[in-house]
Amino acid sequence: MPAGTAGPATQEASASWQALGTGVQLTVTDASQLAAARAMLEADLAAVDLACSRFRPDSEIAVLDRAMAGARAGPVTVSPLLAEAIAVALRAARLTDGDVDLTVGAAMNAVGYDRDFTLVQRTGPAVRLTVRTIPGWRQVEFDEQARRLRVPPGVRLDLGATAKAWAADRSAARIAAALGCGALVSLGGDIAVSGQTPAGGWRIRVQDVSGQPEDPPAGPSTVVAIHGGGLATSSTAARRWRRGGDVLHHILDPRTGLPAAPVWRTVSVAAASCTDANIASTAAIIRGWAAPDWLTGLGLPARLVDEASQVRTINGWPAETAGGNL
Amino acid sequence: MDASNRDALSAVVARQRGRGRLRSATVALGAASLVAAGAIAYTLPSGVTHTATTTAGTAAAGGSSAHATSGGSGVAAATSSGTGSASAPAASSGTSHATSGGS
Repeated sequence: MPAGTAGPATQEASASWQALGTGVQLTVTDASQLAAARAMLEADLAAVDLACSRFRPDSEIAVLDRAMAGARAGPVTVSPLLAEAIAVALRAARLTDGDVDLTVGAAMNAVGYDRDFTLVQRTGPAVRLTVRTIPGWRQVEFDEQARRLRVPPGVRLDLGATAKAWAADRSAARIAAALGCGALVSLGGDIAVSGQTPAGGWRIRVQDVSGQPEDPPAGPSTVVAIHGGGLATSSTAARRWRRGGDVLHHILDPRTGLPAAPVWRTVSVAAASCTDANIASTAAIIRGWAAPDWLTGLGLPARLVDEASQVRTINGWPAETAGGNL
Repeated sequence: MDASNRDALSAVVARQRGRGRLRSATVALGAASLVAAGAIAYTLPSGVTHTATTTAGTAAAGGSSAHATSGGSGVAAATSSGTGSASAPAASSGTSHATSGGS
């Protein structure tokens, strides 16, 4: 059956668990394939975590970080999986003119996000926040064909902005292809779908913070249906912590090394892939007031919610009344 | 945050607003750059195939799939998954399969 088409009714089944420091949800259109699909996804995510996590001392990127610390360290060869993740992150930086930048690792550490978020203290004493421009993605020398990487000393990579969405795309496609069913993979609300589509499409409730579908949302929400590609939401309402009197969040503006200015608290985008949706939604948070024009120019359906909970939809995203259509 | 840093942040916000105005004037150029960089898949209809991938596909660990979203364009993702529709989502209701929010 061609992927992306609606097939005969089958029983859908879902599973959810934690991985990559976030909530994972897997739904397949054939319940008999759920166990096999979960096994594939767990293996995929374990491999991604081991390659890309900046919080694991044994991860490939952490080992590379130590190897690159020398002032005259030369390029190193990276694994195919890390190479793919780095290429995705560099592409995001290129497409967004550096708004989504993989060299924010040190800045993330400086604002307190230096370990798995479950271990980040939600409150703590004030920290000295220094405005500083991060090194910038152009400092990263990467030969994708040869998988050779060189990062200047002091530059720490953080693939967190793109890795989950890329992993969702990758695994959804692999599961659908291998098992012949429809698959939805959500990694912290970065959602990729592939293969057979349920009748009426994949229904996704968009909200400030990802959660279980059966739980009521906090804040404005809406339900939309997609039939392919991906949908991603970036929000300053999630992964927040307090230091002294300041509320910090995890989406940093590379031009300041500080959390992006509070213009949009939540931006959701639908695109041809979850990766592209995520790149656009993250960049939109950082671009602030310029985001609607930018997204409009790209032709991407998007929903933006400002700090006052006012919702703006563009490029064919379904309009909604204040408070959503839940 | 101390007073000096608040001042610095204010200056940054002001600079960002200025940058926003500049960007609104140059958004068309930005979009053109994105297309040139391979992001045209954002607006391609489903099923359209192209050879615009600018870098090689990858051999992802353990993967037989060539889902090469790393390839400099979303086109590879669209064709490998067979979906890739960038059409607008439709309004829906009822029980959701999943939620999308920050995490």
